[in-house]
Amino acid sequence: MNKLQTLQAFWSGFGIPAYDENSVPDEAQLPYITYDVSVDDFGNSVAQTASLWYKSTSWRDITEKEMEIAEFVGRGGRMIAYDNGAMWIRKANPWAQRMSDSDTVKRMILNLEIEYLD
Amino acid sequence: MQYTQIPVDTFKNIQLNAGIIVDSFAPATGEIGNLVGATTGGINFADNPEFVDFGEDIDNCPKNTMELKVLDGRDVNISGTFVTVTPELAKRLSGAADFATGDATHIVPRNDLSRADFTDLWWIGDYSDKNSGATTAGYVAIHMMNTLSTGGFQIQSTDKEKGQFAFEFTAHTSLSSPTTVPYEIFVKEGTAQA
Repeated sequence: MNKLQTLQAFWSGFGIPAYDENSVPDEAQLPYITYDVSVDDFGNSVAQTASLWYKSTSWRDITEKEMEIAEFVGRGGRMIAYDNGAMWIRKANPWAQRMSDSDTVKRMILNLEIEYLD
Repeated sequence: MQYTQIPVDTFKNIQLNAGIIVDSFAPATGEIGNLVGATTGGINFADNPEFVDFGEDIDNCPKNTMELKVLDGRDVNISGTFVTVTPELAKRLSGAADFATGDATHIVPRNDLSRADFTDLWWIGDYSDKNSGATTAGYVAIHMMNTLSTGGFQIQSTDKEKGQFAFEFTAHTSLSSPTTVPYEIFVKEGTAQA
């Protein structure tokens, strides 16, 4: 896989659909993840944000998903290989922020830093 | 540009994160002992070799002639800053020190050294693109033998900040094995988790 396919696979690995934030299909149903896409070359870290979207009046499920992702990334980050390289995904500060878009849709923004090593 | 390149396997050979300092490590199994403390600002290990140039006072002899260069010794140390402290770590940082009799919270420095003040330490850092799993993670590990706290016990407190404990441990050669350099390095690539 190339780095963009690997990024999609990473975000799709948490049990709910994941979409490039610029390509969310009209028929997409909550919950899902949206993420921005920025890539670079060796030695440069790029900031990335993703959003968890849940249809709920409670923060419980979305927070559990956030914690699942946080555990997967880990304190020291997570290295994921792709063709001829790897991306080092790390949590950025602040890691997670709750956003209140409506009473019935919960959104949590996740901040990451990705260093592409290829 | 022809000479602007990096090795194709660079991502497999990078050391990551600050690493940890522990009192024991089994390279074959990846089993780690007790973490000595939490650090801040990373950790510095250095082997500073000291050389003598036997040709430096010989007329007409070029400086740094390899046939006349002699390795005189090594100054092997690790330094950094702890942000946690326990009675055990305070005793270790004091170097020559004991617990008071019957009181493991009371550390009493000494003015003389004992063999027990010299203990082994390991620094271990994440390494390679496969760095997960207790037995599969890649690592760079440095085993320092007979270390002694040569930086002494230090505390730097700051208003509204965490206290910091600067440290420096120096590894020592033993007369029981005078040719053994008091450190060794392990570099192991990780393997895929099952």
